Amino acid sequence: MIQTTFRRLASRTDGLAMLLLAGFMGWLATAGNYWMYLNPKFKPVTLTAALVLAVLGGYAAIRPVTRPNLGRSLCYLVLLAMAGLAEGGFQALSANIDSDPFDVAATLPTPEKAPTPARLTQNGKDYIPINTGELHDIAAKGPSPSFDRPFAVRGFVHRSPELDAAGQFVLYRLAVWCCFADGTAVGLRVAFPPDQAPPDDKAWVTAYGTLRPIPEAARKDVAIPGISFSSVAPAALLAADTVETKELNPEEAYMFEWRQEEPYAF
Amino acid sequence: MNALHNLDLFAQATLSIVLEAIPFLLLGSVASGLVEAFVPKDRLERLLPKGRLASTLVGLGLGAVTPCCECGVVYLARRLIGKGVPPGAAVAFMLAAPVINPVSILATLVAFRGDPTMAVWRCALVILAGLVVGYWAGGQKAASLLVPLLTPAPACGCGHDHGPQHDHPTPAGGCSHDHGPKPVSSPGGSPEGSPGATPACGHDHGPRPVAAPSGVAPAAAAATMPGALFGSLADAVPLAAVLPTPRAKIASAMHHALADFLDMAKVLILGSMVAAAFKAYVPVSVVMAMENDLVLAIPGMMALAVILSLCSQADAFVAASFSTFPQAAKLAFLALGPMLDLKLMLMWRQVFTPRLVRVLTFVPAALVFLACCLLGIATGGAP
Repeated sequence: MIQTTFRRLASRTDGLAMLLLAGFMGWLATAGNYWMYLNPKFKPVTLTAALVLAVLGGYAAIRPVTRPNLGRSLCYLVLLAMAGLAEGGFQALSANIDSDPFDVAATLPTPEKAPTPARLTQNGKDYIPINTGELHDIAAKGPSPSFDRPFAVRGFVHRSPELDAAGQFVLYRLAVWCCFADGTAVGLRVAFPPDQAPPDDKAWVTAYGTLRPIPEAARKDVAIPGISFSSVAPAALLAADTVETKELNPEEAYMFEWRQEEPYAF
Repeated sequence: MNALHNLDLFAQATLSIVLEAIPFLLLGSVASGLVEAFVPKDRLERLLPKGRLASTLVGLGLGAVTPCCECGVVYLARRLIGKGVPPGAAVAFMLAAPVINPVSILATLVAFRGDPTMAVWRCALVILAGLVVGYWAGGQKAASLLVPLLTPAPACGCGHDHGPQHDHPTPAGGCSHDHGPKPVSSPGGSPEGSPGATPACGHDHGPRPVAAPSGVAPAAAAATMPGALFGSLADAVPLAAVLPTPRAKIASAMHHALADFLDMAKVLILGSMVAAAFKAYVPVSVVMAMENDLVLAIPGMMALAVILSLCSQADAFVAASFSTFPQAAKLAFLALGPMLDLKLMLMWRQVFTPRLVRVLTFVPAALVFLACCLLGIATGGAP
């Protein structure tokens, strides 16, 4: 009797696993921290896939199409463990470790994104909000009228002795084009104001300033340490009027959108 | 960084790759199931040209208008070959479609800030590889390219391990019966409770008696026909003789889509874990150490493309971030990745013979390596 029940249950493992995965995908796209894995523009794709998966999984749970397979079942268990780890179980353990800044624990439910104002005011001066990816693209194109415009840009700080000596740090964020695994850290150098102490390494800051070309002789490649490939604008830096340390909202650690003109994605 | 910390990054990267690929895998599986259930073999054979070059070019042409990713097309390619599509067309389609479709081309253009050089070179190299491998495959018999069925039980041709309660719902899917818990190798076993008779699909149905399928007329002609090596019994039996209902066809499509999806999902998870482990545990500095040496950079970037197993619609952005690498090395990364990666190799082993897997592995890699070395020398290793 028990053996029969076990066999019946085992033969439905595939269907049940598919239903569980469909549920997880549906939850991520509607109420969960989808942004930690994929660019939110793919939510409709994921939701559609979850629906199709649920239909196929339901069918497989009722009428199994293959025999139970140990290897496949182990894969389901591994995937379940991955979901547990990524969804916070393990982050609690590693929270005190000197972690990669992109390793963020999501706040759930994801807070509503506040609209970005057209200008951010700092010390009585208006700045155009822009993200590091968009500013990186402007910097990469070389001197243009945009170099005279004041920008406000936020991101993580990367410091090194070499950068410190030059009175600079790198400001960067993770650009997620499709999924977290193809994320690239994108940023640019920031020259901090002489009258201000440099921010801590890996701090989350907003820098206010204007772009300035870097002389040919002073151009150097900067790689951001960590798990991500990185792209730091080589030919221009942001000469900061002010650098302001802020509290990080985990949802803002990644960039998902780039615009060529105002209003920028910030 | 340490292993404890990186475990959650590893998990996050694994999940993100799986979640990104599943919609495409589903799309490929569903397309494969629909082809199996609804497309008669003779129709595809009639429609497509027979010549090696012509059929390969048709495969490339189809790839150019089909936005898809590399994970989804493997089973579809197998199904198409099983349905009588010239192997050259199916293989060329499988190799080229992930790169030469409009979505991937646009992504490459955007990643390189509108400069078409990389997109053009990438498409050209992938088309070249698709042409060479497709032309070779066009000269082979389907039986020498697809993994043969191991037991007589699935002689309906679908190629799946039929589960204990798998009531194959339609002749479009091959045979309309339950295969029973233990497939019996004797082809003369008792079918459907009628001792002595041979079932329509040509194999023993095992000990459990099963009700006659609904919506299916008797297929007497099929009783004497051997099970097809590939494709379904519907390929061998004229559809008029079996008359499956639309409902039975849909059920058949779901069965085959499910079986394809389950086969691929396992290797997708394993491949994603390997790629994520590389991402989480191998320092970027190891990769960056190759940037100044063309001889190291090209094979290094090719190896990276294989290991990272990135989606063909996102890899251009990663390649663009290697701003200091020689252009030829970035091209090697972009051209090879969608044709050859860990996930794909695991998937190919499920459905293709070792011979085809070897060709799919080495020929595109060799072509990309040679072309990129020549380009690198011609451009002086310029980034």
